[in-house]
Formats: sequence, C-alpha cells, structure tokens
Amino acid sequence: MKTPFQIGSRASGRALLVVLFVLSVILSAVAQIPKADAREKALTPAAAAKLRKAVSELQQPVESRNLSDTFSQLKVPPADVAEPKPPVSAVASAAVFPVTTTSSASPELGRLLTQAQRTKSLSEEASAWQAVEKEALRVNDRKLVAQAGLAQARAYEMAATVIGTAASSDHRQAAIGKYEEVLNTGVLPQPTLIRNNLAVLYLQQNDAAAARKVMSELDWGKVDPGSAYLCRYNFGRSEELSGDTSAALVQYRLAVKERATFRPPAEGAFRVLRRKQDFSGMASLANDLVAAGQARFVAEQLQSVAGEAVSPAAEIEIMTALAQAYAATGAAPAEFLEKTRPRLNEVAAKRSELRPLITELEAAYESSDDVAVLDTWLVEKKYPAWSQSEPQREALSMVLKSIGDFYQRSDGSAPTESRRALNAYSSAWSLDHSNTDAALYTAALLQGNKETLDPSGGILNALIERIFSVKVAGYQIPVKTTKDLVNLMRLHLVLAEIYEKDHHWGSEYEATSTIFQLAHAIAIEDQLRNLDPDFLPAPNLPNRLARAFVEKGDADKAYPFFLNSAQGFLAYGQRDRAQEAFASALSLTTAPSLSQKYGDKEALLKRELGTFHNAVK
Amino acid sequence: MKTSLAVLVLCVCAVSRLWAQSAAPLYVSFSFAKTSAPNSFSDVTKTEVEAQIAKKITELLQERFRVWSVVPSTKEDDSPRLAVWLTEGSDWELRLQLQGPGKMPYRNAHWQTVLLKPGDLARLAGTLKWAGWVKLVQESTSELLFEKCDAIQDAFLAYVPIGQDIKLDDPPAIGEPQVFTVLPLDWDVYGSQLLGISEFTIQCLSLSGPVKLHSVGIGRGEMFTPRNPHGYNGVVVRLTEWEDSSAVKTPVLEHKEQLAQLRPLGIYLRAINPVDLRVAP
Repeated sequence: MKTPFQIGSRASGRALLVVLFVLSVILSAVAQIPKADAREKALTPAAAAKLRKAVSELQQPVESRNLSDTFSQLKVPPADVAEPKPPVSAVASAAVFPVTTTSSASPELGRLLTQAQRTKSLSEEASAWQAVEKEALRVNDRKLVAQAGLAQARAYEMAATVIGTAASSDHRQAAIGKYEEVLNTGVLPQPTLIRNNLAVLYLQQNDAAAARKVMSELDWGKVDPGSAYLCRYNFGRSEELSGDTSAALVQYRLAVKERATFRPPAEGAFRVLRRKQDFSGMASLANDLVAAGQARFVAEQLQSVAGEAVSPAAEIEIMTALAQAYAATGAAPAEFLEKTRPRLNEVAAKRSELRPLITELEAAYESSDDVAVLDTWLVEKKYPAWSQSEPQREALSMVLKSIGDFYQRSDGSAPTESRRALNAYSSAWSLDHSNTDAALYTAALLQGNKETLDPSGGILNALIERIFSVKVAGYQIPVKTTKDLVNLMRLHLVLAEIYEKDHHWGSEYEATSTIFQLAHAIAIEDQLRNLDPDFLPAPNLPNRLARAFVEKGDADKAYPFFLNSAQGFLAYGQRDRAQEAFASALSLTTAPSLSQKYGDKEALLKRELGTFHNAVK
Repeated sequence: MKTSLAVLVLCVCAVSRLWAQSAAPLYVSFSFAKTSAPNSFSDVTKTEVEAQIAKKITELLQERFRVWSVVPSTKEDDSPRLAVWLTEGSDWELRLQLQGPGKMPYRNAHWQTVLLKPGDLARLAGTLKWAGWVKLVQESTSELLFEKCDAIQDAFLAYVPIGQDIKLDDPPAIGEPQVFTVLPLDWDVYGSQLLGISEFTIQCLSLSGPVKLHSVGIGRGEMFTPRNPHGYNGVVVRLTEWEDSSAVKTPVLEHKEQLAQLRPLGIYLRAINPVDLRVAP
C-alpha cells in the first residue's frame, strides 16, 4: 500500500504540482517586491509608520545618511490618494523626487500629486509639479511646496541635460530659478544636492561666480562622504572658472584624494598646474596618482607636458616622474618602443637637453641580453644621464625592474628572455641598491636557471659579495622600510635554498653558506615580529637551520632550533610536524648544560606532546 | 499531465522573469593550474578550494563592479568569463584574463599581480593550509582590482554585455519625436542609483551588416516592455546615433523605420554617469 507521498502516486503528483505552484507564486511575488506598484496601494499602518520615520529622517539636518535610501523609503503614496484604475507604470524619476504630503485638507492635492508622480511625458512633468506646488501653496503645505519646487527643478534639469533640446538653456534657467527658490526656503534638508546641482547649472550657463558662491556656502560636515569627491570637483571647477586656480587646485587635490579613479579632478589639477608652470606640483600629483593605481593616465598627462618646462631642473623632475609612471604601467618593451618612443622623440626634438635621458630610456626598453652586469660603475656608464641624482637612479631602477618582470613573466624557460630579465634586474639593483626587489629577483632568477644563466656560479658569487660585506657580515643594502626588511629575508631564503641544494652548510660567518643565510633570515624574522606582532613566525625556518647544523655535526646549535620549530608548529596546530621536530631534538646527543638552559621549553613540549613523548621514550 | 506542464511553465516563467531583471552574467573561474600547490588538503580537495576561491573572487568583483552580475562559472563553455589562475616561476603570480566564447582571450584584457615573492613559499612551507590559500588569493585579487580598477572596467565595458533581450519594436511613449526604448534592467536595482543617465551601446544585426545604436539613459524607468509587460520597470534610454559597419554615425531619427528590423545582439555600457549629483562641464 502506497502512502500519499510515495513517488508515482497520483496524490504525490498533485502534491508536487501544489508545491511547484506555490513556488512559482513565491517567485512571482519576489519578482514584484521592489516594484513601484506598491505605491499604488492604499497606505497600510506599517507603511504609514515607515513614512513618518522617513519624513522625520528627512527633517534631520545631517546629510551624511544615504539620500537614495531615504528617497526609496518615501515611495509610498499618501493615504488619501485614490486607488489608480489601470496599472500604469510608475515614473521612476519619482525615486529621485520623493514627494508626499501629510495634508488631508485637500483631496485635490493628493490627486495632483499622483498625477505628477505618474506623468510619462518629460515635457509635461514640470507643469504637473507646478500644479502640485500651486495647490500646496493654497493649503499652506510649505514642505510640499518646496518638494514640488525641487521636483520641477529636477524635471527641467533632466530635460536640459538628457533630452538635449534646443531649449536647453531655457530649461536650465528654469531649473536654476526653482533650485534657488527651494534653497532660499530652507525647508528641505538636502542642501548638498541642491547646491551641487545648482552650481553645475550656473557653470553650464557660464556664471562661474554664482557657482563659486553657492558651493562656498556648502557645509562640508554634512556632505555624504560617498559624494564628497564630486562636490569637491564641482567646487574646484567653479573656482578655476572664476580665475582662482590656487583654490581650484586645493579642491581638485582633495577630490583626487577622495577618489583617484574619478578623472575630472585629476585632469583639472594637471591643467591648473600646467598653467601655473608648477612642475614640482605636477610631479608630486603624479606620484600620488601612480600610488593609487593611475599610472597609465599619469604617463599620458606627463607626456603631454614634457618639454614645456622653463628650467632644466623642472624638466628632469617631470622626466623622472614619467619614468616612474612607465615603470608602474608595466608596459611591454615592444609596446613602449612602438607607441611611446615616437612621442618621446618629439619631446627630444623640442628640448635637445632631454635627448640623453630619452635615449637611455629607450636603451633600457631595448633590453640587452648581454652578460648580467653587477658593477655599479659599468651601469652608470651605460645610463649616465639617469645617474645624476638619487631620484633619477631610483626611477630608472624601477623601469629596469619592470622590464625584468616582463621578460621573467613572458617565458622563463627561453634562455634569451631569461638573460634579458637577468640583465634588467641586475642593472636595476646596481643602479639603486635600495631596490631590494631587484636584488631578490636577480637571486631568484639565478636560482631557477643556474645551468643556463650562471653555470660557474660567478654571477651569484658577485651578487653575494656586493650584497653582503663578508668580513663583517653586514649588508650593503640600505634598508629603508619594513618592505625592504621582508625582501631581505626573502633574499636570504632564496640563497639558502641554493646552498642547501649544494649541501654547502658553512657557518654563521660564511655568507656563501646555508647556515649564514638561514640564520640571517630568522634574525630578520625576529626583527619583523618586534615591529609587528601580527607578523607570523615560520616554524619551517628554525627546522631547516637545525638540520643544517646537524649536517655540519653541531648538535648543540641544532637543539634549540628544533625546539623552536616544534613550538612553532604546535602554534599552527601541526602536531605531526611538531612531534617530528621534537623527536629530532631529543635524538641529539648534546652537552648537559643545554638541558638546564632549555629545560623549561622541553618540559612544556613534553606536556603538549605527552603521549607521543612517552612513546618515544 | 497538462496541469503539471502548465505549472512547470509557470515556474520557468517566474524564474526567467527574475533573471531578466539582472544584468547578463559575467562568469568567474579559478584554477591553481600547473603550480606545485598541494593536490589535496587535510579536509578538502583542491577542486573544492578552487571553487571556494572562485566564490570569493566573485564577491570581490561584484562589490567593485556593481553593474555586472558576477557569478561563479559552473560549465566549461560559460562566457564571457574572467578566468583567474596561478602561475609558478621565480615567484607565484595571480593572473586574470577576460575570455569570450571558446575561451578566446580578449585583446588587452589581462592583468597580473605577484601572489608570493621568491622565498615566501619556502618560508610558509608546512603552515599554509587551504584557508590560507583562499585568504592569499583573496587579498591579492582585492589589491589587483583596486590597482587596475579602471583598466578592468574598461575591458568590461568593451566586452561584457549587461543585457540582451531588448525589444526595439516596443518603445515607451515618452516624448516624440525622440526615439526611446526600455532596457531589460530593473530600474529599482540599476536605474535609480547606478545607470539612470548612463550611456549604452546596443549592438545589432541588420540586413546590411552590424549596427551599433548609441543611447543615453533619461533618468526614469518604464514597464519592460510597454505593450508586452514583463512585470518590472526597466531603464529607459533615448536612442541617439546609428553607427553602421563603416563606423559612420548618423542620427537615429533618420533610421526610425529600420529599427524594428534590427536584431539586437547585446547591450553594452559605454559610460557610467552619476545619477543624483551632476558633474560640472
């Protein structure tokens, strides 16, 4: 006997149909949820409460809340609006013009309001709101008067900007009139929207002074942080068109800071700086924008001003910023030579003193596949114009590093590409020893391509000799930032791997050895943890160093590193690895004094790894 | 039998209606590719980790590029697709590539960033669990999306349609003599805050070859579509220019009669203009 829900039964088929039907109804309902049809229903108590809340929010003076959210909450009709007959599609602009009334004195007002909200024709929209305004004025609903005024302003504005008719100027003038009226009443709590759009309309009507005035009275403390970049730009533009380029620049820079991806203020700032012949300011702006990921845009801007500066020093500053932008774009050498070279040659034709800088930049992108150069003197000889000052050296070093990245990325296995990458990386480091990335990638490339690039190990030895002063075990690399420190640690790890493969264990004092490299990596890791407690230790490093000491036959030195490693793996929840390291420590025959020195640590590990430890015993 | 079929059709209709209101999807896939990442982790397989990462990347993309509907890819032939994978050389790199049908890469639509520098993996050996990989890729993707935001958006604008099912023969009656149409994008989701007055290109096929219709949003929504309603308001655009296969642009008004004969292929966003606050000229 089948139960009603057994598969194949008639009843179960019906049940399935019912479930499917309910599902379809739910899906349909979900599809309808955000629709403006809700506006066409009478006001429920819940909706009325929502409306009251929204209205009270609107009455708050602070604009920092999202206006759009508030608007969407207001898309509810007043209670006295008659149920509409045919389901007319809602005029979506009502979402931007949230207008409602609490007045029950005029049923006519409700009718007009609904009519205005549903007006389909753009040309009729403003007059529909005008009718609302008139009736609201009659019943003395001041707020509705202002709202209807704002709606008219937006309708005229929309007609002027979007529909683009010959009467645009008239529409704009009408929008200005309504915005001004609404602003003067002070009833509506959206001065940012009103002031901003009013300023834009003034500018469109070539009245920069009025735009400047209306924006200068904006209360920035009440501007929605998400819109500040736009208002700053508009303010800057009104300052610029009013002739105050310094004030414009301040606003443009603030707008760029708020949103670097928004081009108009960045373009405005470059335009103003160019007019002021402030090339240092331009270089500084370029640096900020490159740091914000706008390198390609910056390169275009600087290319267009290169060769225009009055002083040679300013030209060099621009060329240096340009090189940094090129490096950040990571452009392929072929792309640079094909597209950028002709433009730079035009600059060189204009300003002959820039010719050496441009020629050397081209030489860098032409990418030699000669033997790697690790001699600073030789690299300086190749790039004399770029070796004149530290900023120039740093900039070209960044370009060379980006070229190395390109060849390393394109095909590491092709010998020519690897050689080009090595040449670029090594030149980058030789030119600027603080470019720790270049040193790291030189070493990594040699590690991965020893047979093809450096079979005798001569280049690697030269690199190590130049990086580490062997006698004092100090660094030749100037460490400027935490990033440099991390890179230095990576460099030690790359080199350690080379010597580990060769089973060259060495000592703490021999730079070309596993122990030296690992010990220094661990020391830097400790330094990094002191600077940043969140920097996690790597238990694999002490484990490797301990093994190197074991291979060298120095159990006493291996013992504490095995213990450290076991502790580290435990912290990561890697019990197997912890047990392995602890077992290695216990298997060593060490001096009795060590047991005393590390007794506490050993006891702790014994407790943590108790069962295992007993089994080992 | 008939009843069940009817209900099924009803369900399909409801689902398709929901679907149509969203922008056309951009698929995302992730792969460890030929790297030395472990084949399995203690409690999950590599494929599961790849799916997890694809989901995280999808979320990051959706957050940054709200206009497109970004979804994890489930089929090999999903397109357009943002393929994300790792490469291993001196360092480990995260690569992104926008691909069309048949996984053909689009021109100038690839980006990369370093995931692990030389020495990093050696340092992390034995401690990098699957969640660590997810976090690593997630952080690197987030940085890359920030740095290359404009370039990626430009590629999306050029290659990723935001819709397809447009009806050029069913325009809203808004304001003669201009020509309007309603895009299948829910006004409440896309119009009022995002794309209301943005610019679009509708790629079409005519008897004489491909045609691009340039258009601009007019800041309002209308029923999609007026004569054959689908139950939601779409974004209304004014058609401005007709661009033929020789890239010659003429006012759409000169081609009003031909519009109904066009076969729309895809709607592409050309420029995003802010809706509420205007920008100075």
